[in-house]
Amino acid sequence: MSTSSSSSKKIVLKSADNETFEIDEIVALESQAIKNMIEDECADNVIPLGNIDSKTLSKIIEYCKKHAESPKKDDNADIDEKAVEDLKSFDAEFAKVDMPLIQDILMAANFLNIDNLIGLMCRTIADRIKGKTPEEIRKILNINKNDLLSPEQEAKAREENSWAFD
Amino acid sequence: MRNQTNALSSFHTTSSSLTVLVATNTGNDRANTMSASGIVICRKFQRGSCTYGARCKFVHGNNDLRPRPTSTTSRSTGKNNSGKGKKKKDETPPLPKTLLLPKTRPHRNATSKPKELATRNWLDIPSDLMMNILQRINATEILLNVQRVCTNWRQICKDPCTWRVIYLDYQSSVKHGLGIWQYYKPFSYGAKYEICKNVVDRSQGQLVDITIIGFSDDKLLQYVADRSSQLRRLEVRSSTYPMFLGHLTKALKKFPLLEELSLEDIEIEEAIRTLGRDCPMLKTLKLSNEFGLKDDALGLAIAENLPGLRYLELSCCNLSDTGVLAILDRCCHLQVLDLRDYPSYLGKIGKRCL
Repeated sequence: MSTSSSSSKKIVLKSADNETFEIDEIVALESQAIKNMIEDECADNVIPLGNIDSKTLSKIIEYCKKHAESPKKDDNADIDEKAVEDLKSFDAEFAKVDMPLIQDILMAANFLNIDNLIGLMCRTIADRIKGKTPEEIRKILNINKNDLLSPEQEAKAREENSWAFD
Repeated sequence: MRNQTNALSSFHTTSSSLTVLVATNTGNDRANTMSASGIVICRKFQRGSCTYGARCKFVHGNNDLRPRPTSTTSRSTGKNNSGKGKKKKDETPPLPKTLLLPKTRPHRNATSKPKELATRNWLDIPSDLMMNILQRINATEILLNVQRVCTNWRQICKDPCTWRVIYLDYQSSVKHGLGIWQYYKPFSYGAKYEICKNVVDRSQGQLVDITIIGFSDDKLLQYVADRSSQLRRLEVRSSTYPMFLGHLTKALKKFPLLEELSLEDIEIEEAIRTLGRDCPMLKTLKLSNEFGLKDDALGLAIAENLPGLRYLELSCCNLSDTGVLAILDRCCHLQVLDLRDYPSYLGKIGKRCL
């Protein structure tokens, strides 16, 4: 974003579909995996990310940029509350995407080891599942219908849950 | 040394970096363990005593790059660690330059997009991520709905590891009936007890973190205590029945590894001696009591019995000045002292902190 100066070190990420993204090193360091690579000096000029497509990667970079710019929590106990609120609303806005993309981001964040983003995506998925019936959950997550419980299993599950209906 | 950073809401002493928060409402719910990251740091590892090693489900520090999925690849071999058992397409030896992020299998979207879009296979999700998701969901919902989604999820819900962290909120209600005939009914006493029994049984003694909201009685607490010697964090909120001190004390004795305790509306003074003696790992204590009488007892009890506390939060507990000062005196490891709703103490404590 605007904070990128010409003097700061750049890292280039390459997505599965061969699109390249040039970002500031500080943004890339949000990923623990990339950070380790850089520290171990095994990062080339271009880091290929063979299992992340450009759509997912651009979302992840958007997230890392925002979080790299924000003051870190553990730096100071009394940090600007406005910044915290700002980051919260950014996260909420960021998570408003469709389920396939959320799953892609989650898998990529897990791969890149971006703790906050893993947490955000897991929370988002959990929030969407909350208060839903099994059928609704299957629909929301688009779960393969071949994997349904057999009638026997379903009966057993109901029996296990008989406490709920006394 | 003498450095007052924020006179109104917090004091920050550079010497011990103790932060005292007064009359602020930060609303940090379920903060420490289920932190914003959602990653649970292995507390055993932090103490250097984790025996699980690479098999540990929890994160080992910031540099923990163990393949979090259940794959068996190790980082030094430079193999694909994305958690998918599929073989790489090109078997060219990985370049050392891309040790941690090698070219892996072709992205599934690139190869099989139309199929994937039709039905997404959630088996792709590594089990630790699945657990990360489930730990955020009310245990009653997991039992009633989530475990019936598909056979894979049912398996996951049977795994004791899934129940290491339990979030049990009884304030929700059960959906009965079908379609437009659905109605909600609160859980009966018996049902509440059965749910707790069920989830504690499922954890098979591996329970490390439990939050119970909306209900707790002595029988239930004892049930948890008798089966969860690994427990590190206990939180009980908005209980409909008062907890009896004697029973609480008895239960606390069964949690030798307890690190965080969070309770509401209980005169805990008497139990604090037990905490000091039987829960030597206790680092975080959060109490809230709207009806407590203002006296020195609580503060003095904490100061005397829990000198090792790192984080102390007392909301609506009518702590006396003497109590607060005693805590500041004795609890020298304290990093955060959160005294909500106490503007009146600013003067004296302020001086003490400086």
